[in-house]
Amino acid sequence: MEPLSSFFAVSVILLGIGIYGLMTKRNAIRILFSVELIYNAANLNIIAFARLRNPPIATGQVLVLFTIALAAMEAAVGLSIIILVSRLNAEIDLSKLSKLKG
Amino acid sequence: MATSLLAWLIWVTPLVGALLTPLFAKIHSKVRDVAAVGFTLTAAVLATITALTVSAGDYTVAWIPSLNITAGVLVDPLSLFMANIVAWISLLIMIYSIGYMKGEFGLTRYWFFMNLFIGNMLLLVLADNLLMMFFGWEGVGLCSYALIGHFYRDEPQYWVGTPGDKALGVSEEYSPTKSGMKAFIMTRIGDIALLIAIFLIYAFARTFNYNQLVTQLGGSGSWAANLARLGLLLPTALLFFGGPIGKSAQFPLQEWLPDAMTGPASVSALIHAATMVKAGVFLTGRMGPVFFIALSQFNQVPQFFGVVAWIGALTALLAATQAAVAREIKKVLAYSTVSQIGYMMLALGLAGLSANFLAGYTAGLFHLLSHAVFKASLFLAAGWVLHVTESRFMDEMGGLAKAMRLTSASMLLAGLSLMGIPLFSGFWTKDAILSLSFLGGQYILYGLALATAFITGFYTIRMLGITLGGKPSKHLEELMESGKHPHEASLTMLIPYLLLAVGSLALGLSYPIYSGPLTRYVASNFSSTIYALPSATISPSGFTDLLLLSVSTAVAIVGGAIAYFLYFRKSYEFETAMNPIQRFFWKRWYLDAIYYKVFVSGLLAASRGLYVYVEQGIWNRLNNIVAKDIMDYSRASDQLDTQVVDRAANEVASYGSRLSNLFRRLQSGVTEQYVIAFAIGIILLLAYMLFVVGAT
Repeated sequence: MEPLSSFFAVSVILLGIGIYGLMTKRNAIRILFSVELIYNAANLNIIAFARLRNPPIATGQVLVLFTIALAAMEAAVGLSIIILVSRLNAEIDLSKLSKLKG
Repeated sequence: MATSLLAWLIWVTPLVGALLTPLFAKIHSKVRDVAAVGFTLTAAVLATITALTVSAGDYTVAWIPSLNITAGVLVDPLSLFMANIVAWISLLIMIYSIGYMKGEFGLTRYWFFMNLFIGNMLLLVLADNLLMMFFGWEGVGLCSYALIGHFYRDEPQYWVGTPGDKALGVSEEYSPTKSGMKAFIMTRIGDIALLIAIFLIYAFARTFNYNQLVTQLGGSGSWAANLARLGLLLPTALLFFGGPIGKSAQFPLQEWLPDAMTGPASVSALIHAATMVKAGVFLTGRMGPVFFIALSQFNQVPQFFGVVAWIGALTALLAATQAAVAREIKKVLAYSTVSQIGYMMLALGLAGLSANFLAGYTAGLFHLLSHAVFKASLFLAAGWVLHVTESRFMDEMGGLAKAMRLTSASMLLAGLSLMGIPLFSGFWTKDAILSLSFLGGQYILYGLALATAFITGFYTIRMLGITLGGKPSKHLEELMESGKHPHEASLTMLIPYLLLAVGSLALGLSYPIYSGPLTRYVASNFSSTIYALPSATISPSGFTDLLLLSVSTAVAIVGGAIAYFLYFRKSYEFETAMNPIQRFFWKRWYLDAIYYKVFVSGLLAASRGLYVYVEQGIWNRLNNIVAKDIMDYSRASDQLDTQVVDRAANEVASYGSRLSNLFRRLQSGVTEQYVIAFAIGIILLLAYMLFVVGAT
């Protein structure tokens, strides 16, 4: 088995777990976790492509460093929104949060 | 430059004075009056100093270089001759005005326009080019208009004309405002002709400057030759003469001057006797020699100068006959002025027709001088007579000689000068014109001039007889009963007209002494080689000369004698019943009425016709049709708008809303559904990659 395929397999598994979580879970925090998983599936792909390229380049790793930082920020923002929402509604079930729907 | 500044200041000073008049009026009315006279005095002194010290020449400065237009003053014998007459007579009349206008309203306006007038008149005379001359020309016209209508409130005592008098149904009564308007419009007719001529000359000569016009006369490429090639030289000269005809009240534009007597007597004396009406004579004198040289190259001299002479002679006779039957003292003088200017025009015309150009030329100018003096005196004295008797009609005066000896003496002196009695200035100058016409072989013109001399003698004595001789009229007796006795004028008024009357005698007595040098002085204008003026000395035998002198004198005396027996020592009653000849003269040869009918009534009828037939008949109907069509059209387009455009827009909008209702179902807001769609999308993408892209 090629090294690239093993990376892809892990990545696909991560993506599948993420999508599964997004589809089945209604808790906002769980959904946030799932999003993080999808993120990391993509990050893994980028690093794998960059590292296993011939010749390998560092651009992928640098890019992913930025993505991780962005993901952290996104998680922070997402969490703070969730906290606010829970304070306002005492509820973080997304299916019940339909105030903004026209 | 220092000396030419003097010449500039002559005409600038009164203009500045005019502008300062309102300022001085703010300080005190006395300051205003004295300052106004002061500025005129300055101008007069400057004019004399310039005549004595500044050498003749054209003092120009650049004005509009691209059009070859310069500004400048022309210091030459003719301009200084005129400037001195204008300035000194103006001064005397300004002094007279202080007394005469005392207590009248609108005095600031009066002084403003008087000084403005004097400034413009001096500009007209001193300008070295036609353009600046025209500014002065129009300026004096404006001041004339303003001063004729000085009493713009149109109180009945300031009107001219016998109340209720009509000719051909046209009222011969004129209010100050109406006659001011009349004067303005009538002179404008001549001015338009003048303006066309000036621009024609400019178009071909590319200059307005008198001296350049003269120096560019020679050769086949000159402006005159170019004009003549198009056949325009004679028409240009005649159009140019249109200006003098209007301004100097010559036939056929003479009708404005008699009615201009609505102005104060001082204005009549200054503007409508001594100075402004002479502008036409001056301008003819200024450009006459130029046209003479220009026309003589193409043998058209007799046509132009014939017109000048004939218009002059005709006007002289026509106005004299009207003076002989006039009722108002100022109107007698006004007709007389028109008549005397006719003499001057005759002289200038004769200059071109006779063998000696200069003789006619100087005769015209000298008569201008002597007329300015005696007519100003007569007008000023008449102004006082009007004031004392509180009437403008001669038949309401009478017997004034006893009460007003000095005024009467002054009127008599000036009157004798007007008649042309030997030893008075009018005698010499009028006789020069008469004998010139006889010796020049123009016997018909001589006859007309002689007839005018006869009538002049008649109307002068008639005027003096009715006002000064005989017994006081009823009107005057009523005045005396109410305590208003005729008395002499105060010194500010008496001195000017007395001085002018005595001056007229003095000018006559000293004529043999100064005529020679003054002729040479004026003639020195034509010393350059370009002026090829005929100067054959007409040397009549002593007998012919004496005969001519005695004939013209005898004629004037006979005319005077007839009037003496008719009007002196009798009280004169004005009667509306007249014999046909008198009526014809009284109605001003019906010229005024005909002009009114043709031009004023004609214009009114034409504009009424235009209103009824064109405005209402065509335009209004057309407008209505167009409006109706536009209404129909807009109604139709309204239909189109609501039925087609609006409906289409509504349909499109409703489809949009239905479509969006369809799509909003997709926006469930349920996250899972979105994720499933996302997952399906990925799977489809993968499938595409694997089976479509990967397969190839």
